[in-house]
Amino acid sequence: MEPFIPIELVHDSLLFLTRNELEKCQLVCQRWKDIVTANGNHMALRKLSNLAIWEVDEDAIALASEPKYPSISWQNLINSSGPNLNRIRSLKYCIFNVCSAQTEIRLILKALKQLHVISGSKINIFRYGCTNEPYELIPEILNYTTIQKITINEQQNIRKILTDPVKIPVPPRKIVMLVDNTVLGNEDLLDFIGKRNLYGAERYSLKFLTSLSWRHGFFPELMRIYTRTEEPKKLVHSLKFTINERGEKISGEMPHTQFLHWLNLNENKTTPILKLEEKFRKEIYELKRRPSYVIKVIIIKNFEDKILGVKLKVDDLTERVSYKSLKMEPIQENRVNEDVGDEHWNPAWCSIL
Amino acid sequence: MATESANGVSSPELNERDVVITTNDNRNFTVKIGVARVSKTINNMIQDLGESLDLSSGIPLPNVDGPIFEKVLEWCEEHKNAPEIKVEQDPHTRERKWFTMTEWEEEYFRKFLSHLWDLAMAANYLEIPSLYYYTCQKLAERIKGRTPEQIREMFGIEDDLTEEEKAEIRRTNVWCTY
Repeated sequence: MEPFIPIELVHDSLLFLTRNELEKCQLVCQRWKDIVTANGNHMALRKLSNLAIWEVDEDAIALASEPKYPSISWQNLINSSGPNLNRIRSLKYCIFNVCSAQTEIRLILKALKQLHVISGSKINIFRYGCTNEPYELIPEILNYTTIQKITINEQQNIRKILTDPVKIPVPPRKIVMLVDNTVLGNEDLLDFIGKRNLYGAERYSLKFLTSLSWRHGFFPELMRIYTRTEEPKKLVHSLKFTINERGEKISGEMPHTQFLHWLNLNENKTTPILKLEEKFRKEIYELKRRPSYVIKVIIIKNFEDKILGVKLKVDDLTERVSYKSLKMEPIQENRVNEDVGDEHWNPAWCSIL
Repeated sequence: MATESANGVSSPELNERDVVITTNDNRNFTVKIGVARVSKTINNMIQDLGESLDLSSGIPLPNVDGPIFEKVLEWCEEHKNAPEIKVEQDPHTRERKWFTMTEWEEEYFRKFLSHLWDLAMAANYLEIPSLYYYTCQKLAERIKGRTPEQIREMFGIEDDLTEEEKAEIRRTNVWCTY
């Protein structure tokens, strides 16, 4: 029996608990209640699956976790009181796996704004999936929401992001761009990679739909940016490339062909280190070595000498961490997917609206 | 809590030497420096003293008593070569990720289950991240799935919320089922 437990210890123990547990813990005593309320902004959030917004008729929209569950109409949202009001307020301590709006952006903005005003907090969304609206509106969406990951697939929007960025106060943590390189030029991409200051997201992920943009010396230019940058670790850490995300057969010149060509022309030509693994072998080329880091390109081949993939890697020699940026590997390899499937998310949102 | 590793002056010979540590109830513990160093607080003291460290006259620990320090030492002995622990949180929900404990660690906490708060306080003061975070996790494990009433009883906490206050908490927390 403890007469006095320091607040810090209760706080650090509660950090291991889910939102449901935290709400229960508020009933223990005044001190515990105060610890949970005072630290709501960094303690656990409740996971909800999907924030769906769709239009019912001209002047009404509906919100729900899944379209098949009971929803709330626009009228109810505006006049919310009683249980509805508390439910919306509790969104402060929730995070939606995805927001999938199937209506006009004007209505989406109206609904998000209303939720934001009632809950008195930005709506937490892990992945925002409605990205065909005009690029200029993305910052406005972020006025009402905190989005971890935003995927942009509209080429016009990507072009604007690359060439004419706007600053937003609270950027998403990660921006994924599905680049169709037949639309966008190398210059825009390379210029962006060199600067990457737009939006201020922590990470960018460029997914190329085909390997076409690797033509016309894109890869050698990319290598040059990597070997010349002051902070290769930061560059590799904040930017990731993936080619052929859809698993289609790649046509056109492959990056490694460009790379090998570039390497042969390069005066710092290095002999690769060979590393044998069970099913393939790796050729590791050291591009640049400094006391604190090494930049490497790794070419993965099978035993018939067929190239399976290419990796660009920066090994941090001070922290013994390595960052991979370019990854082009056979599709069948286990890919780590950071999105959690909907089945792991609490569908409780359904019952609340 | 600082996260840098505690290996400033780490010659193997020094780690094998004994140091005397005195707890607030005037009990003396003779400990290998390599073991005492698991505590960053003690390690800092050893480093600060440097050459002037008098191993026989000892290091005083005014905030820890003998019975608890004895338990802490058991942990240090087992973890003297353990790597720094990594505290991580779920990227979506911000919940702290639960550590996987070894058989030895599970047994350790089973043995000292009634001293969790004392262990956490000592680990916090002595800056032993592994013991501190693991104890917090054990406390969370005790809280999880128990009713507010059971928690109060377990930890000897007084119920100082009025019925109105409780009703208000239940009203605001729409998912709260207690």
